[in-house]
Amino acid sequence: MSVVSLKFIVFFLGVFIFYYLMPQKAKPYWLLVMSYGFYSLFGIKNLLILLATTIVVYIGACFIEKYQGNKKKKNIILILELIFSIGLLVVFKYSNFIIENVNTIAEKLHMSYQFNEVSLILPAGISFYVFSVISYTIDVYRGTYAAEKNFFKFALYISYFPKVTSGPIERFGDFKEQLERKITFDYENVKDGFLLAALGFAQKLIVADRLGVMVSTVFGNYNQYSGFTVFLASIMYTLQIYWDFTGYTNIALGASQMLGIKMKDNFRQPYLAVTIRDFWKRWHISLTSWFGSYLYIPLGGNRKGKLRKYINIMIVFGVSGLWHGASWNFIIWGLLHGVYQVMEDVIAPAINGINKKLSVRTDTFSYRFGQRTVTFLLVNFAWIFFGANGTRNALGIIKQMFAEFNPWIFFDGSLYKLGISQKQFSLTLFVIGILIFIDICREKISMRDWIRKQNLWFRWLLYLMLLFGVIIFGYYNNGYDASSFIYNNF
Amino acid sequence: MRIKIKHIMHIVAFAIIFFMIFNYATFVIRDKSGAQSCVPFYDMDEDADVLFLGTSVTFNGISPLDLWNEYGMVSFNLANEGHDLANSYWALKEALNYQQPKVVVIDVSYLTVESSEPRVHVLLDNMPFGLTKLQAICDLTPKGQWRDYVFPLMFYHGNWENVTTNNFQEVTSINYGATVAQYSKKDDVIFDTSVFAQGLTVLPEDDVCQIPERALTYIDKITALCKENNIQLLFVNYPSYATGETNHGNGEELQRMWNAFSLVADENDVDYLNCLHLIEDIGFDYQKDLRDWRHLSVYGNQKMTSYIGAYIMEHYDVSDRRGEESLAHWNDDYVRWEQYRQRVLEGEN
Repeated sequence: MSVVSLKFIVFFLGVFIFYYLMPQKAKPYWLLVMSYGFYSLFGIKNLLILLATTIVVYIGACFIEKYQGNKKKKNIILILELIFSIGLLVVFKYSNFIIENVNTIAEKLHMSYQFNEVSLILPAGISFYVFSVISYTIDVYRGTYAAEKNFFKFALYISYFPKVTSGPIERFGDFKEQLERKITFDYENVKDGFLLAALGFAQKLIVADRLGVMVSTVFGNYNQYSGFTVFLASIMYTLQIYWDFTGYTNIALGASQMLGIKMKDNFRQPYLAVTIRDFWKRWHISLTSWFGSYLYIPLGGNRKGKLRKYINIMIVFGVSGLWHGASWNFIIWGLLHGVYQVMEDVIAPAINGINKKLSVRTDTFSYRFGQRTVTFLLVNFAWIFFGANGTRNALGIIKQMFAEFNPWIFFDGSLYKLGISQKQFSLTLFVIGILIFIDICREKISMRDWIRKQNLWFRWLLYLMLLFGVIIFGYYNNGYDASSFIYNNF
Repeated sequence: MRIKIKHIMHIVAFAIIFFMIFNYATFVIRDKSGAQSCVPFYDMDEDADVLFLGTSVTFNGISPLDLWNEYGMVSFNLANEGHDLANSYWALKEALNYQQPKVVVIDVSYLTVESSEPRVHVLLDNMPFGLTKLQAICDLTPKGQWRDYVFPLMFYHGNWENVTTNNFQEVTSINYGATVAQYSKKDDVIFDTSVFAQGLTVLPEDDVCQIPERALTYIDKITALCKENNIQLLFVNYPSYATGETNHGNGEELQRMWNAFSLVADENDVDYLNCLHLIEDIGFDYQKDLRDWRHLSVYGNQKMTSYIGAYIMEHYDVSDRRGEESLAHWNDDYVRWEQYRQRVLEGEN
């Protein structure tokens, strides 16, 4: 069951109503039962893998805590736990990628033996919950907090339904703190959560899914398109992936807020970033934070000299790329971001020097606009590798982008032939404008607080426009076909 | 902050406004094809003595205003395009929530064909929300589509692109559910009925075959419903040129089923007119009175309306109500119907 569905809304309504009817102590158990119920819809095998992971990590963490005074035993258990967790990912997500590459190398070395690919279904959300258990295990090892003795609370942390399939990657300490507060029905909180979820539906259904149609049309047949059409498709993909991901996240955050559990924001207007480094403080914040805490810093971070810092950055982003997908194009995407950050650091002194020499004012709108544009274009370029179906396709798309100079596509109606009608295209542009405006406002103010200050009629008008925007203009359930209603049956 | 009375009032008020807008948006955006044949039924001040149900054959073939003009009969044509017996059953059940007719006439053209999804939408989306509608949704539609029928806006929402000022207008009709057409067209080509001039070879009445189970199920349900409500039931098979391959199957096979229907009617103790065996009585001219293999032309409509009207007046307890003052508007409506029919004959199809 996708969170972007009517079924999820009905499911959540049931969870929500009974949640607030229950006594405080029963609430976490209710959420656990419902989370397992939710996850069971992905298949019993997936559920058993989730349960097994939970049990193994729970026991392992308890032992780590038991042996806090015995470094050797503690280390052994940590290593075993990490092998188990990372092993799960390697087996379910990367087996065929590894086999494919081994076979390629074997072929190049003229070896006759080829391994067969394995048939394993990727458990839903495994990338997210494995990172959750790794963060928990390492935090217990580091003594950040004690191992959780209540198995059910720990199981809820892993399986919590708003975040289990698509994040954010919450830290156990933060999550536990939320669970242990006294949760009562808070009208304003529930309303805010509801509106956040509604915004998520709008981002996903009105804009992201429509952009996806156009992107698929061009990226799926890139040889038929060139120049600005391909460039525009890359921009559309950049926007699509943003609103697709924030859409899901906002629905998850909103649903969780309605249950009185506040999860951390995962996006902070990333396309307003002024540098790539800034971008990664705004995009998928929980994942960036995870890599910082559990990979970059253990590798030495920036404490072991510049060269080591750059190597660490490349490792982190290479791994990040691999985490996103078991394919070379994802790794390239990640490494590109690594290169961007390294180059940013390398040329920063030169840029500062030039700015100083030319008396460039860096605290102006024009300078920041320039920075944002360059950052956006760099990010946009990298996304091509993320969105294309493989490295070859990504390179093909880039080649097609420079194959022709054709700015007339903006005027000759070509843009209305990319899979959606002219009216839908216009609608998409209009809503993109609104969402960009919201992002710009959120840089300066809290939209939530601003809306709360307005009069009732204005607030209700906004809420109704949001809800009916999703219901009427959402790109879903496209089963209606006007021509089929015309009776022509004789 | 716990929930206060003020919050509850806000929630209730917001919900009311939301559902009002939701209903209005549904009305504006949804496809109103077929609405003219059933929505005006809900606006009738008087109860119809006779209700006609069934497929496009009845929809195009029987004119309540001609029945009024010739016999003083008060009737409504609730038939619609593509309505199989299941659709007709639920249309009847819904109608009985509002009126108590004396006679119900149902055509049996669709014995082999099920209503397509758009036709089920036409039936259900024009029904006001209620228990009958919910029961019909459960019976006629797959579970995965219930949402589309309970909340039609979620099915039709993509139609926002095609909304014009017409969408905001109420559905009205003065034809009491009926319509007429002189020609049938496919891909802009008018169907040539001269091929019917040779006449149809009608199979003997005892040449029968099995009627599909689904059709039999709904015949039983319709029969039971009418008996429960003391309604006299008449099934009719209107004249058609059923021979060779048709879009409903083999024409001769269909004739056998219509013949077999006599046995079903006898078993259920209901009346049945198989007009294929009454062509001479009716004075039916296949070439002039049909516009394709089964739909009646304007002339066929007049002929069958007159014939069926006479049959009903003779065999059922239906009275001539032309003297009733409250029904005087039917005379004006007949004048408008005549004008409409004339326009159709002059080329507006």
